Amino acid sequence: MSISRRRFLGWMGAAGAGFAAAGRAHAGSSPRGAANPETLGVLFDATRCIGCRKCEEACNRVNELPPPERPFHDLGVLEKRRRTDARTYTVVNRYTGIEGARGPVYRKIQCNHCLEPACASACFVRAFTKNADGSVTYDESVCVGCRYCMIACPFEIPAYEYDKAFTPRVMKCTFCHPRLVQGLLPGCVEICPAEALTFGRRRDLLRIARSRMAQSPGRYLDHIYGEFEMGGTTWLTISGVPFRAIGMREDLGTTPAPELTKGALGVVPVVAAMWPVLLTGIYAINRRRDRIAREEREAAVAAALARAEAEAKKKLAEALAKADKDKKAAVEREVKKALEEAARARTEAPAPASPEGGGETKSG
Amino acid sequence: MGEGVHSLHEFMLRTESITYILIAAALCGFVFFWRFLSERDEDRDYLGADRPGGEEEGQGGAHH
Amino acid sequence: MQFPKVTLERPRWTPFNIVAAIIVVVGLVITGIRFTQGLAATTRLSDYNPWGIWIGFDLLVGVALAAGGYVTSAACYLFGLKRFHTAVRPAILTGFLGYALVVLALHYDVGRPWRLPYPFLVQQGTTSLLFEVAACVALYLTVLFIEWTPAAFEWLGLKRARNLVVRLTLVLTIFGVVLSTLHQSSLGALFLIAPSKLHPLWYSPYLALFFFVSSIVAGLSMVIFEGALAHRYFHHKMDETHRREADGVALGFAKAASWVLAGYFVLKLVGVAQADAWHHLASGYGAWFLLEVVGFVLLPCFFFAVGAREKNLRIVRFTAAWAVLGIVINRFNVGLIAFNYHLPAEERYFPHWMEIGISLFIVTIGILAYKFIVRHMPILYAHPDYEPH
Ligand code: SF4
Ligand code: SF4
Ligand code: SF4
Repeated sequence: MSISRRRFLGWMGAAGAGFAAAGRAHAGSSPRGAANPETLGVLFDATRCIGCRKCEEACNRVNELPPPERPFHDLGVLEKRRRTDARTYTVVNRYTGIEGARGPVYRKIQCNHCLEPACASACFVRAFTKNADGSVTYDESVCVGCRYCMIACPFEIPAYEYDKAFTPRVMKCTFCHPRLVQGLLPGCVEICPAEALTFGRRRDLLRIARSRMAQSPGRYLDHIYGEFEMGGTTWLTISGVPFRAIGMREDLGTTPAPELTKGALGVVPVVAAMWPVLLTGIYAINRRRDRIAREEREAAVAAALARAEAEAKKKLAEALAKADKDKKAAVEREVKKALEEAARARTEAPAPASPEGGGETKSG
Repeated sequence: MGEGVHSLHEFMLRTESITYILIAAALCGFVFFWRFLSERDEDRDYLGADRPGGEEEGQGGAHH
Repeated sequence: MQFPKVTLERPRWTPFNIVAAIIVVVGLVITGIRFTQGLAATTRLSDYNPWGIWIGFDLLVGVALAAGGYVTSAACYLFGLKRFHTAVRPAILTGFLGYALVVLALHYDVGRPWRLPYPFLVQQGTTSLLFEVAACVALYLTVLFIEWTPAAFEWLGLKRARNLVVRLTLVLTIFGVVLSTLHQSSLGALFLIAPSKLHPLWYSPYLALFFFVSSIVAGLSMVIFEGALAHRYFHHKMDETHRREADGVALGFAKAASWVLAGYFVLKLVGVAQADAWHHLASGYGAWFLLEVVGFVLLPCFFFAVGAREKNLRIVRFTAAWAVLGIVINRFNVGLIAFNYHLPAEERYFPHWMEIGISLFIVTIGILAYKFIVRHMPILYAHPDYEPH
């Protein structure tokens, strides 16, 4: 065991004090570069790992996971490339035939407990918590099972209990958070017989890694995997062979996960604020244009009507005037006729009134 | 332990939560503000006034 | 007020009905297995491939193809294109059915479907784009439902309820466009968090924009496509106005789709340029990418243009189906084919037949529901007692 219980507890205390201080320093400000300086972590040294699978066994035991298909002392499973799954929080793989390596190289896989966990950023019910000790833990009591965390994790760590119909859970290494709280070391770290796993404060681990590189020139590549990958992880790896050759991606970049989605999330309030303004504006403009068009049409129709009406009136007036004149003329004619008749009657009197004469007078 | 903001994730959790509340409030606010803004128009448009659209060809050729 | 009688015609054993019946029966059986035996019994999902076709097809494609509702109602009510009025109701209906089915499909996909309201009610993961998608889809489904109710109210003869909802048309339309913009784009943005898993030709900071713009194309093309199908099978249900306007809708939407596709094509190129992914074009994925972008973006763009210019409905309808297929391919590429491109072949995903069975089952339910509603409610014709809104 590389670290004694007493020193470990001392760290925990220091870490607690550090968290509080850091909390005050960073509260309310943008957290860029504010990763908790007291974060704990584990350094995995691939040059030391002997592929004994003891860590797998310990992990299985302390986490009370179901028994494996093949016993842990069966090293035959190393023939195949394995990954974490619903019954396994950690696996050790063997990589052979690597250029420049004497014999096989082993690598342990588990959750890297990222400084900016993609899984936590992706979960829409906040099922993941980045704890103050550095561990990233999962709360099955809220998990919906959308498995977006599995899409998001760049290290392909979370696994799912697809075979459970009613209570499927996401399964992943907890950094033995419950044990850390009790002051115990992570199961895998505790058991490792080759001291391939070193537990400590992340910043100390980075120093340890560098000093190992300095002490044994040529033994290590000059790269601490996890120092910057995806914004940094608390579990770090050093190796004597290219990380690519032991199944670790070297193209992940250094952008932390929340940074990747920040832009898209930032557009949301902009759309929510400006779309209603723009769309209502467009609507109102269209409506107004319609109304003006309608009014103009109505005005045109009204003008046309007025013109037609005026003309009609004029015609009517003319017609009336003409009718009036005709009527007057007729009356005058009749009057004249009547007068003439009367005069004639007077000269021809006494004579009986002719029936035609009466009729004629009446008709006038 | 754990107070304060130690990660971008925590920071965004906070800013995003506030933003979502703001959005919800703003969307409701817009409805009422637009109402207030155009309630006195003689040609009142929507939100409890007359129907949007409907005149023009829509009405004329719509049916019968 | 008399409730209308639903006359269920005696089922005729047309080929369609036989196939539909088989799919529904099989679907129900698979449903039983899924909810008693779990995902492992019905899917080929794995720890490497947590999302299969229930997300890649049912969610991504389903939401894109249901975009007709917001596109059409925005064109008609907001942009003042009232000649498209008769296209609104069918588009709203298909949109509503589409989203309802998307939500139904999600119940199959997530591990504990009864917890689907948790992100709103229990704990909000506001940093997640999936939270945004979930919130918008839930709200938009509600909006579409309300927008669709006038048809049901007219059918049921509930005049006052119908008029109340119709007065909300504008608010609902604007809300619908806002929510659609947000979640259509966020579906693309879901993949922003996994730059190492999505092939560089598809991964782009513009993923959200790609999804939004292509959803407009999907919406326009689906309206044309559905219009063509409706014409073929429900001609007798259409009134004069609908028949008269239908061709104008198809031609107008074809022109719009062509223009939007032109913009989308340029955007896709800009995406490659920004990622400096040109050298990937020479690989197998590159050929596939070119097929998508040239064969299913550029060519439909061109043929829509020809169809709109020549006023040729045959070309327009054919191209609409083509463009829809292009959107399907794009969503499959982002969600399944170009996703996990780095994994060895034996770790890649291929759907279990039961997954396909459920997807078919859900599509079939959609078609049956559409048929029922169109047959009974005033969708393709204006109800004589009401003014169109
Ligand atoms: S390695 Fe994966 S599961 Fe672990 S904290 Fe990082 S993102 Fe989450
Ligand atoms: S599967 Fe569970 S933990 Fe993972 S993102 Fe979905 S809800 Fe969160
Ligand atoms: S830290 Fe604990 S849970 Fe994680 S791999 Fe080690 S023993 Fe397993």
